[in-house]
Amino acid sequence: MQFYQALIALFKRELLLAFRQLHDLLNSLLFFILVCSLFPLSMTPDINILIAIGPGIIWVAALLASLLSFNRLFRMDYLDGSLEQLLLSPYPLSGLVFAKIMAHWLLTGLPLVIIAPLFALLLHLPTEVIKPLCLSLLLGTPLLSLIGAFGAALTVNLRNAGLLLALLIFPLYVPVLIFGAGAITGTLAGLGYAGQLAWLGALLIGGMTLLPIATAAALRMSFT
Amino acid sequence: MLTVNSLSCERGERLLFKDLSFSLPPGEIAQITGKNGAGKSSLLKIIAGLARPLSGIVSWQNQTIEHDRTAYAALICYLGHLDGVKVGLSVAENLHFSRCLMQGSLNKEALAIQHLGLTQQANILVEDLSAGQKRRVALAQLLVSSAKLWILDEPFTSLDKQTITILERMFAEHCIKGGMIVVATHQPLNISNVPIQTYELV
Repeated sequence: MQFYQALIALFKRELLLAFRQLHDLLNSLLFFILVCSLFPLSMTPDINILIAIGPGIIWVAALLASLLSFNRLFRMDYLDGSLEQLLLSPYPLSGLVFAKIMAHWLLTGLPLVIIAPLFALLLHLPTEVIKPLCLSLLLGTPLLSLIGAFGAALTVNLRNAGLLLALLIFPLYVPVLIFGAGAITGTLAGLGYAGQLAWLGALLIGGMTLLPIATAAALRMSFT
Repeated sequence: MLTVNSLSCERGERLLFKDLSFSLPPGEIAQITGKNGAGKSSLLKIIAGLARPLSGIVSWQNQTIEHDRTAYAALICYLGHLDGVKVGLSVAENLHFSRCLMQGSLNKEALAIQHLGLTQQANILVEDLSAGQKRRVALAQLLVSSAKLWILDEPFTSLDKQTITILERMFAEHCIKGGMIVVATHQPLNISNVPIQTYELV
């Protein structure tokens, strides 16, 4: 019971801190909006081309936007000493880490899921792909948060970790990207999207069970 | 009882201290002194379980602290150089979170705020407080937690005379209740009735 209280307290603290520093929160969302809206402007306004590359653009933009938010995930706690207190808590660190990641997803991933249909229309994607697009993002963005948190934990004690972090986690992002964008292109080709979503769901469940443990271990390693 | 047995620590090829041993029974204070860079902070981190020694063992009730990390974590409260408080939260919010995280007992938050003279600042964001007040918020975490062993790294930094007296009184009360304290500080502790062991790291 006390453990759940600690998890909820941590979750609430993360949300409270984010809402008090709104510009951090808006950074990745704004980035997503910019990338998605610049692409159609930079190309010939040919509907067929837009439809062909649209799914990829939305997914790559979501990937890059999420990447922007990770260097703050543990780094701020590391710098002000509250990460030490998390490590010294009598509760399982993996659980605490999971609460932090879920808060991170709620703040950076969920807004993308909500705003994505708008950009699907902007890229002239047909309305029947909106459902697979949203579902694939709904399953894929938490996975991005989980993977990114692992990378952030590995690099928490490095001063300029940005590029290294990107190098570390991009290979792990690739399957998410392939299945996520694949769900949409599959729908466009009339093949359905259930298979890709099943893969994303399986990856998400695997990630949810294993990555918080790996992240907790990486954090402990960074300290010793 | 906390026992430190022939501890050695190295940082970047340089040996900070070696063969350090002491034991701290309940109700006593161990004061660690030594010049800058002598390894005081490293020693405290090792005792808290945040860092590993080069060799040697830290044990609690004759069991190494790695043996049951969860149980040990519930017994200690470590305050390092960094305050470990969130500047974006108010004093009360910070202490509420600490209480939840450290298995502290309910209703201690208000008491801790009052004890450290933060009543008027309770709902102010920590970023609007002075360095000394911020330090006081960090120290209030000691009262919020129900830890038996306090591990404190330079707790008197940027505190005024009045707060130093309050803190010394907190130390005495904690020890009289059977608690124990490992503290790294240069300042002579002005505490009567409590046995103080002093170790100098060279």
